[in-house]
Amino acid sequence: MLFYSFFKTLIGHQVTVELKNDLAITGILTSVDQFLNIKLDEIRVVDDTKYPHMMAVKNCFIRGSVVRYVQLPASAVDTALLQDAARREAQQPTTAAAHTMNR
Amino acid sequence: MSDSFFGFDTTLPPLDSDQLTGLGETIGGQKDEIEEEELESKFKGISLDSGEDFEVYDDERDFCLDTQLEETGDDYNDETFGQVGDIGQDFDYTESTAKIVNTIQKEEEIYVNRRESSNNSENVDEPNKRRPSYAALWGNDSNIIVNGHSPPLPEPPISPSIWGTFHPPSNRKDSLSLVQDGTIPQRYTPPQTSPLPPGFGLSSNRMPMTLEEIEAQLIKQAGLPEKKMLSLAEVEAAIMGINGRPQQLPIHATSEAAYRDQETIAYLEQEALREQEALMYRERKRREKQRKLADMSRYNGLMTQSDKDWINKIQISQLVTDDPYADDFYFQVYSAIRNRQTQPHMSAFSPHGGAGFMGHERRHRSRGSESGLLKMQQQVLRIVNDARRKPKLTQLSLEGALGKIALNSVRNPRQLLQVSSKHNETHHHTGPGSGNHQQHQKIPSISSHGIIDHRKVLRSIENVYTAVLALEELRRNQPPLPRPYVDHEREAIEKWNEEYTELAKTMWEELRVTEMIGVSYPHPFISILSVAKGKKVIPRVLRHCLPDQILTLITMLVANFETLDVCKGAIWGTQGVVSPAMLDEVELYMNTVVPPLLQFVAEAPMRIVLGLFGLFVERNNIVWVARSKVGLAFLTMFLSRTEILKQGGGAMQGLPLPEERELSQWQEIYNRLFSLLQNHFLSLFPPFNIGIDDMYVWQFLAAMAVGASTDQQHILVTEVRERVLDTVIQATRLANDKSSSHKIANVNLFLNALGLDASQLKI
Repeated sequence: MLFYSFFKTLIGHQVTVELKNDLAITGILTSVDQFLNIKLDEIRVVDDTKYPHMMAVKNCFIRGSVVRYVQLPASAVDTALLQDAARREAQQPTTAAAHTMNR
Repeated sequence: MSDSFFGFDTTLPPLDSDQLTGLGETIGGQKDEIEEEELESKFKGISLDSGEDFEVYDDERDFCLDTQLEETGDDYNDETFGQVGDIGQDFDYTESTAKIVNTIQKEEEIYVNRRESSNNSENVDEPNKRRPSYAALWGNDSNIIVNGHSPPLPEPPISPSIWGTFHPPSNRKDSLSLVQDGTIPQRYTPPQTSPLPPGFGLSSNRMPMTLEEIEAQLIKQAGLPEKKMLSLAEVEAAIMGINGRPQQLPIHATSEAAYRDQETIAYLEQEALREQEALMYRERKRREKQRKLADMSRYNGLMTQSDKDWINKIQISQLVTDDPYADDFYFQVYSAIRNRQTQPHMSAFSPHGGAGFMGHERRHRSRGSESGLLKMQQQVLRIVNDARRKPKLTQLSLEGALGKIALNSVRNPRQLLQVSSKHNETHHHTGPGSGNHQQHQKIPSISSHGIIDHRKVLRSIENVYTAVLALEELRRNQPPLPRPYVDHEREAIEKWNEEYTELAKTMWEELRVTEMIGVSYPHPFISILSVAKGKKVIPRVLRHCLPDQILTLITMLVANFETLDVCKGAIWGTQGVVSPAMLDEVELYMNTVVPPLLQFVAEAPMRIVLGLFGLFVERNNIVWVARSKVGLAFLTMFLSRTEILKQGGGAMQGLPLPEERELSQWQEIYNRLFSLLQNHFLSLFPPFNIGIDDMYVWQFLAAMAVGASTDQQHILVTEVRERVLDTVIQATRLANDKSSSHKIANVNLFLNALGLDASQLKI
């Protein structure tokens, strides 16, 4: 849930999503869900000469499982808070239970 | 053939039914009531005479009319219509036909449609087949016209070969006017294009032709086979590829006049063709769109509202939580911080504020109606309660099944990485701290037997963080101050206080400030401060500390100052080089640890400051420590605070002027510091011209100069004179540069404390 929580704060910011098929799309993040499916608006393909068929596409929905990287705007990320969130995530009872289960 | 237009005279040989129908239809389009009636009566008579089946009319005709017609019509027929050789001009067909142009056009359209779908030649060759329907139609039509004056759109059965049957009468002399009339409605039809029929090689566009020409042609070529003409129309229709456009042209395209205008016509044709193509394109587009819409609407209403709610519930139940700070921590705190920045009056941390995920979702898609929102809210509440009642299982074991079924969810995903925690434990046991494993659980000892384990330091820092996070959460959920005589509120705050104190105690223990000095090197607390995240946690820790705890902490720090990494690792020697990484650490230390301590010292009374100052000078190698930025910063801090207190600045905090004993104590410490640093003042500076801002040194020198005696001031100036001059010379060389004025300002910090100014210097 941490990543979902994190990406929610980036809604409205410009991100670049690199897909596993090497397509890199820059656009404004409009929505994200718990599967990290991503909706982008006002999109632009980074290498648009290589993918001319994407020229006419203005927005898109990206299935979370095909995302390789998401390039984030540094100014919109609070790393200290992210560390705290990670600490809290590690303390989650469900995670702890899963941890115990795996012993 | 008779001269009479109608040709219904009994003297004449009876017309065949085909001719009759043609006439009937022609006249059926007119509105002259009297004539219509008379005509009908005539027809009736003729029908009877010629043995026409009368029942056809019976169905749709008025019986009153029938009887009337029997009496009125026949008697004066001869007188009315008998000698009518010149009557042709009296009937103003043109006028009346023009009135029903629309009807005729529609008839034409329908006709063309029909023709396309059926065999054309059949229509022409066997018109008799359709006769009964014509007759029926005609009767129907005329009836309505008589009654309502409005010619209705003929029903499909009529349409075939309206114009086809038109022409047989044209064999007659009198039919000229008829043909003339026939051309008129066609003039009104929308852009008529007539591509070249393959057989003729010329167009039959009528625009350049005059009526007279047509007439002449008609007379001349009256005998033109009907079939040919119709096939022409058919070809045209095929070429145009359109339906619903009247294409029938009663034109006999072989005229010489048409030849002359061939070129113009060709051009016009092309123009029209283009126009038509554009029209067709639009039409195609529209149809495509409609088809798509229809295609999609096939699935309209497939799901009921309850179905949709069910799906929504499945989706939302994954996201909903009763504790947003646990599951959605980053988003909640981040947006709280951002909100606080944008609207400072908003209470950032409301306990259980917002409905967690849904609170956010609602804000983002608030286009539903108010009641919809309410419904959604209730649903979410229900889901939360459900989730709380039955905690989610992480695994399930069925009776008789071997093994367990893992139930994965968003919060409990299938683990791809199986890290054996057992291995970690054994590692701990074999580790150097194995002897104190029991203690490790509660308060891990970093320095048992004097050996520092870096891993344990990190563990300790994480424990501090855990405690701090828990404390911060408690702070957020702090119950309101109890009202008097409300027991449960008082109990709540007591319970909260208990928890808070307990956690604060744990945190304090984790910091290990109170551990004995000298047992280990460096001191455990100093070890914590040597890690970047250990530095970062200090301001957050101090928020939950009591003042005497802060004092203990700062005392411990001052006493062990020279073992700090930012002190011992960031000392400028004559050839000393400080790594950029260490400079970052120093910067971090100055930004995180120093400010809260500075704030504490800035409010401390003389006694405490002097105690810290004395300890600092006593416990550390001052010449060494003072060459680091953080060491000098601490010295500056103590010097400036004592100076303020000496001058009565403590009055603001309600502190009395320092006593005589304290002043002499201060003088003692100061003199000791000065004598220690004497001959080393110049070495405090970082190397010249390496781009390090040496402002902190000038600040320290200024603080020293303020408290210095005249002799001491003289020593100070003599020692740093060179550096002052160098800086000023460099500043003048960099004239008009931003760094130039900054350098001068730095120097002036010191010179002003002595009552001098850089501008007085003669270089």
